[in-house]
Amino acid sequence: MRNLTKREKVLLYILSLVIIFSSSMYFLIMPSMQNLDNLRIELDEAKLNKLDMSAKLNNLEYIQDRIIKTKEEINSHSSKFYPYMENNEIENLITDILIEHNMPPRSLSIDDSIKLLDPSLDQSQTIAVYVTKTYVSTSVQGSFEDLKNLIGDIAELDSIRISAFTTEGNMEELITFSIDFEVFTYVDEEE
Amino acid sequence: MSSNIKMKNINFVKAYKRNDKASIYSKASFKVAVSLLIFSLIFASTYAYIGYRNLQTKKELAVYNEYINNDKNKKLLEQALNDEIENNTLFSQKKNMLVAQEALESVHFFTKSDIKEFFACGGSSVTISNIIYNNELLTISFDAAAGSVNAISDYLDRLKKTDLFGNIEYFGYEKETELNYTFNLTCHLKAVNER
Repeated sequence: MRNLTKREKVLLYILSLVIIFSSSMYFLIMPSMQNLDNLRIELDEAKLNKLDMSAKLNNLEYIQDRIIKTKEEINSHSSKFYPYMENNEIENLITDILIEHNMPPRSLSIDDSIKLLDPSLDQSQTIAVYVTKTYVSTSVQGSFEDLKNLIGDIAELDSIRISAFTTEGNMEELITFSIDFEVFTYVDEEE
Repeated sequence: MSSNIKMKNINFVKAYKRNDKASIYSKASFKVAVSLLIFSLIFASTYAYIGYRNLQTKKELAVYNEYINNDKNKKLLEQALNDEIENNTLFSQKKNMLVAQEALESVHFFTKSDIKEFFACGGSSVTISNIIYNNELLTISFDAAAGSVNAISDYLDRLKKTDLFGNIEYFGYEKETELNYTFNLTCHLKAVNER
């Protein structure tokens, strides 16, 4: 076997450097770096998760207090409205009111209910608790005095009001009125 | 004597040259080996440092994971999430309630005392007929009849003095007979929050 020349030895030296460099990088450093990167990503996620979790846990008591208070507020607001009524119940309510004021209705028609929703809320969301407004148009006969009493008494009620009325004739006569009512009812679909 | 002869036979120059060559080769090999070793050590220490960082990160991660995966914390988080959803739903419901409340309260409608005040303005000198009341438009329009022109202006003054109307539209009268002047009024009601 012949001796290696100096040029060959230098080339071998460079080759061994390249082998050490590339094998260290490829088999040791790079996988290790990759592993460290993955761990750092995992750590960042864990930090965020913990931060989020601890914030939620710290807020738990406050949220529970808010729930109780909001429920109380809703109950307090909802008590001002009529509970949900079918059309025949609305018809009975209006007829009774008119008869009480000596104004038996000649005709009565009920429109579809309108949901009163906050426009800022996402309308696609299922909203189970809301208030509806129902228009009821009536035609009655009575005196101005009866109308005055009716308007006065309706104004005292929380969730019904007169949206419009028209009269024909003067105050002394028994005249025909068209009276439109708005009835507000509270709907809780969760119950 | 014989040893001196032997000494003389040895070629020192040649031997020296041979030794020197060998030492040159060994020195070069040593340098190569040392440089390769240093080169390898650099990589090994880099690898060791990264390994150490890995270990530290794993320890740190374990602390966070312990908190996150703690059964008690998990249950509390589940409860917190459910509560948050319930709170958001209730908040929407409350907003709907407030919208309804506002719809009910924002528009002025006659109270018993308002009605009395309104009809009292007419007194015996003005009679009212054909009333059209619209709560949404906040208007009440009607025909009226008075015994004199002065009675009309007095009536308008009385209406203005009540706090019920923001604006009263009056476009004149028509003389029907000597003691009967008819006119039409459209009164714009003030909303509750303007009164």
